[in-house]
Amino acid sequence: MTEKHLKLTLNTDQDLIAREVPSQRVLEITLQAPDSAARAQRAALNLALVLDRSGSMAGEKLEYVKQAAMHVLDLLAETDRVALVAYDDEVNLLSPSLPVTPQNRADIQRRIQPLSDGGSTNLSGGWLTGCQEIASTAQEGMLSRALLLTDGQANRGIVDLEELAQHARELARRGISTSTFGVGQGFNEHLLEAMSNQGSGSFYYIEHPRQIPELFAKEFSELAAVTAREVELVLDVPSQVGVSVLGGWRWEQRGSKLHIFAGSLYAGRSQEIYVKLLTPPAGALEQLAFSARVTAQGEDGQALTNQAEIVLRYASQHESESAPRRLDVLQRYAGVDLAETAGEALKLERSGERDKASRLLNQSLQSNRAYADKQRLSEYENLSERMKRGMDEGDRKTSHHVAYNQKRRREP
Amino acid sequence: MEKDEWMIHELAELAGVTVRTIRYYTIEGLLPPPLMRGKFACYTQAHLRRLELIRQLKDAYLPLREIRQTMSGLSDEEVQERLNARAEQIDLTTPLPPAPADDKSSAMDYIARLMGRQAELRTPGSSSQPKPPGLHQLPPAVKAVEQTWRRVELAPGIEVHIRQPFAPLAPHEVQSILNHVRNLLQSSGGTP
Repeated sequence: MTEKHLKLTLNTDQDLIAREVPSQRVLEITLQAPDSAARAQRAALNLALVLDRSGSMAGEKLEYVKQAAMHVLDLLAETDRVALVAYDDEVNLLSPSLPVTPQNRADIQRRIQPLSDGGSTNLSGGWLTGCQEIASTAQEGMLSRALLLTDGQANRGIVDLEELAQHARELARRGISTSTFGVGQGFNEHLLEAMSNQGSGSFYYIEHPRQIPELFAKEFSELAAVTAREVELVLDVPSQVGVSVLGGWRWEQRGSKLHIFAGSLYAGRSQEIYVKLLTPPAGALEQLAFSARVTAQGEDGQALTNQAEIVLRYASQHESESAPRRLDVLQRYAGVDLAETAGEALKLERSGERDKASRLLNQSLQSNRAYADKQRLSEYENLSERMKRGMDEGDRKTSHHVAYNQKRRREP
Repeated sequence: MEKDEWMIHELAELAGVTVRTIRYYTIEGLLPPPLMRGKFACYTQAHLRRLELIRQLKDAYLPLREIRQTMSGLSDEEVQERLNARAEQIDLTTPLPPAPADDKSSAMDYIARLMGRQAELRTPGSSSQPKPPGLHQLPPAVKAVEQTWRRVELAPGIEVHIRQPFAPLAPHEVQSILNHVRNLLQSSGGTP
């Protein structure tokens, strides 16, 4: 049987909270996109391929990028659109956004072939030009995304991480998402992750250039299977409850409502999102109710919606502390919490604060020790040791990517 | 003079954070260490105000590293000033970011604004091309102004160049003209 609904489930590690003192609880939100209707076509894609051709891309990397771009073009259908941008210190719009007719496909592929490497890296210029192409042709029902590939530091145009992430966030709010692909050892993993997190897309680490086509294909197959996009969850948060969202999702609090933007979900894929709750002492209240509503656009642009509620009941501190807790929720949460902290610690390590990085991760290891997977714990203990000694670029990027996948609960 | 002094858990409750958070901020250097009263650690109004400012900075999505840099350079008086300034700001304007825009043209406007601003910020580079000799050379006092052009290929073989930013028309107006021409070209039998 195919599932037509966008499913929403709320779960906590325990439904009792202490009357006398604040309690910390874990809220697990699970979203599941509907299955694809067998006869329905996938959503039309409106893509911009934004390719780095700065000097450092010379040789093998650029060849693989070309191959990947060719391949993505082969996978697109006439209902899709694609734009092609190459950037070094200058930005070249190699092809404006065009429908992928056989004629256009051949034309665009011809423009990829002679692509050669140039100067420095105007990442923002290339990316914004790609977004501009998408924005100018976006139509109702299309999934619009820029695929930004780079192997270097942004050193022309806008180079600040926070600023680029902010623009990615603003563009995602306007319907244009961004996925990022970092190749080799020279790029800034924290920048690319921030852009894709705030841009409602995915981040890929491409350790070896030969993986470029494979990872582009992975992004494409996820895009092609999307059955819920612009997924937005609104959680009603009772007054005085503190919330914090794990996993790097784009989120904001407006009054008593917590908005979490989960981007696009592909058929059958479950996405767990964890929210740390800090509940206040009871006062006159018997319970706290958390209701959530999710909205999204389905395959044919139809509105998908669902809702769920969970109630935390006040009990004596003793009762709430001795009641059993849901181990499966805590295990999953512990993995995400560790990975999130590891990401922060890796930023510190990169900025030279090795001891602080290791200490931060150790604190998280300490608090998650009771529930986290043994294997995972020992991997992060090991990472903490390596942080103390200082890490090389390859280790930084691999470790960051592992943590990224774990905190988003993505398949590696 | 500050008279109130609190234990760590009292401060935590007042500030709406956990004891762990206070310890963490102290280790991280976001908060000054507590005053020692014998064997007790005491926290003051100054700590409370710092916690409030940290919360506001976090709400503005500033990363911890940046918050630390900001906080470490502030005296207690400056912390107070910042809080006052922020309170006024919040009174005057809505604390929320601008409402989400639904129309796609706003993405166009957003990008165009951004690119326009970049063009403004970019320092006019010295032209490496020697100027052609001519009778009507500009007086030397006038600097060459660098211009940014957007190049749009409408179909293979047909290009339009638009100076950025382009004042006479709004970005989405330019775009709808381009779209129109593109559609005309496509409907008249595709590529020339």
